Amino acid sequence: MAAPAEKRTSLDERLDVIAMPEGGWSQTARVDALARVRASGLPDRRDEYWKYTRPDTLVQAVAPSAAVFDVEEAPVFGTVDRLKIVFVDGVYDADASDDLTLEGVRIERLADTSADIHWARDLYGTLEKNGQTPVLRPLASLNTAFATDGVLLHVTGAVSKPIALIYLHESETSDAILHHVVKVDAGASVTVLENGPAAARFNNVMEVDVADGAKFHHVRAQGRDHERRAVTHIFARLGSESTFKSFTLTANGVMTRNECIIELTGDDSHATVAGACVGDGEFHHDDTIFVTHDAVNCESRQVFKKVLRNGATGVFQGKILVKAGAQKTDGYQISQSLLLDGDSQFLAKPELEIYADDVACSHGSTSGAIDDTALFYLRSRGVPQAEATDLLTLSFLAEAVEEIEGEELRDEINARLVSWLERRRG
Amino acid sequence: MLNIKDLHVKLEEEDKQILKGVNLSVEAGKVHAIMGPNGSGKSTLSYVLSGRDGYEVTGGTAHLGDVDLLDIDPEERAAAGLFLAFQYPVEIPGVGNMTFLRTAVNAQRKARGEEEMSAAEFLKVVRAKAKDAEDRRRHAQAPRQRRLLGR
Repeated sequence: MAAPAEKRTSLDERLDVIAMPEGGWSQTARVDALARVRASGLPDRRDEYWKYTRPDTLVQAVAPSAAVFDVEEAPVFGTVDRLKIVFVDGVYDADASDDLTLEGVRIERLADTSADIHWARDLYGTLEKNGQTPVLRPLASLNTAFATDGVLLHVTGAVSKPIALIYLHESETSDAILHHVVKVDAGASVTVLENGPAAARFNNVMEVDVADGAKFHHVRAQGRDHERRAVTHIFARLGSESTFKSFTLTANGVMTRNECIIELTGDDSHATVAGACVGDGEFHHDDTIFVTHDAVNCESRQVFKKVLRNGATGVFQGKILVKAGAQKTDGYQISQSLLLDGDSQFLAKPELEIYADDVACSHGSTSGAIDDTALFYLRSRGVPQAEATDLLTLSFLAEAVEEIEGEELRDEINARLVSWLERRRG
Repeated sequence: MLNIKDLHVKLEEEDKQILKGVNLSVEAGKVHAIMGPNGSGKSTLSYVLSGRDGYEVTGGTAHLGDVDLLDIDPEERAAAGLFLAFQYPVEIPGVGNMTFLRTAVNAQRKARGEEEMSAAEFLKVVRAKAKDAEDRRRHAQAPRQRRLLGR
C-alpha cells in the first residue's frame, strides 16, 4: 500500500536522505517498519492528530540547524549515583560512558549487530507497531526503520542505581535517531534517566515491556538548547501488578512533541505519566498521551502542568481508552496551564473512550493566571512580587513533580525549575 | 502610630464609592476593634491599608509612623510593620509551611538590611518559639487542671 498522494513527495524527500543501517537481528523489524512508513506517509498539518502542532520541521528531509547552547550550570542528575551512557549527537561515546555492567541488568547496544539478542528481537518494533492503532505514529515507525543506535536493557533483578542516558549536542546540524528497548522481567525493577538536548533534531523511541510485578521508573529532562527539536515516543506494555512511572521536564526547545502510549494488559497494574514544562518565547511543547486499559482493576494517572509566557504554546492531547471488560478501572487525567501573559496559549484535548460499565475516570483541564489572592497573601507577608510569583509557579508545578519517586530525583528537578525561574527574573 | 485622614476609596472596576472620608488614629500599643454591618467597608479599609489591587484611593492619606502607606507596594508596607491577618488563610499547595515562613522572614530581613537566615538557623528559631509557646500553654492550663482535679 502506498502513502496518500499528497504525502508522497515529503516522504520521498525524507527517505532519500537517510539510509537504513545494517540491522543484523533487527533487520526484519526495520524492513517491516519501513513498509509501515511507506503506507502511511509522514504526518502533515492536515492530520487530525497533528492539529495543534505543525510537524513540518520534524519531518522535513534535512533537520533545521540548531545553535549549541552554552550551558553554564551543572548537568541534571549530576550528583545522582548512576550508570552513565553517553551519546553525542546520537553517536555513542564509549570514553564518556561508564562500563556497561551492572548487577541485575544486561546492557547492550542496538548498533552492536554481531550478537543475536533474542529477547530484543521479540520486542524491537513490536510495541511501536501495536501503538499504530487506532492512531498512526509514522515518526515512530521511521525511527524503528532507521535508528542508528540505542540501548537494550534486559532487567532481571532490582537494579541498584539508575541507568542514565545522556544526550549531548555538539553539532548544529545533527539529526539523531535513537531507539531503546527495555525489558523488565517479572519482579525486577529499574530507574532510567534521560537528559540533554541530543541533537539539532532528535527522534527518540523507547519501548518498555514491564512483566508481572515488575517496576519501571523513568525521569527525563529534555535539554535546554533553545533551537533544538525533538519528537519522542514511549511505548509501554504492562503485565499484572506491574508499575510504570514516567516524568518529563521540558524547559526551552523550539519544538517538542512527546508521545506516550501505554497499554495496561495485566490486572492490577499501575501507570503514571507526568510532565512539567516551562516555556518562554518561541517555544512549542506538545504532550500526546494514549492510555489503554485492557485489564481489570488497573489505575492510570496523567498529570501535566505547563507554565507559559512571552508567546509560548503548550499542547496536551490525552486519551484514556477503557476496553470492554476492563472493569474497576481508575483513570485520572489532569492538564493545567499557567499563562503568565496574554500572548501565550494552551491547547488541550482531553479524551475518554469507555466501553466498560464499572469504571471511575476523571479528567480536568484548566488555563489560568496567577491567583491574585494568593499573590496578595504572600506580598502582604513581605514577599516581593517577583519572588511571590515564582513561589506560586513552583506550587503550580508541584503536583506533577510529586509524581517522581525518590526525593533525590525530585530535588534535582525542582532545582532546575528554581534556576529557570531565577534566570527569567534576571 | 497609624493615622488615617479623610480616606476616600472606590472600587477600581466599577464606580462605587466604599469609604467616604474615614478618620482614625491608633496609638502605639493600643488595640482597636472596628465594628459595623456587612458591606460597611471594614474589609475594604484593611485591604486598602495593606495594598491589595482592585481599589482606588480618591482622597485622603494613611501613614504608619512616618511612612506614607498609600505610596508603596504591599511587601514594603509589610516591611514597615503592617500585618494583615486573613479571615481565611490562603493555602498554597506544594509549598511547605517552613519554606513559606522562611521566605517571608527572609524577605523582611532583607528589607531591613539584615542578613538572611539559612534553613538550619531558621529551623532553630522556629523550634525555640514553638517550645516557648508550648510552655506558656502548659503554664496557662495548670491552674485550670488543678481546679478540675479539685485541688
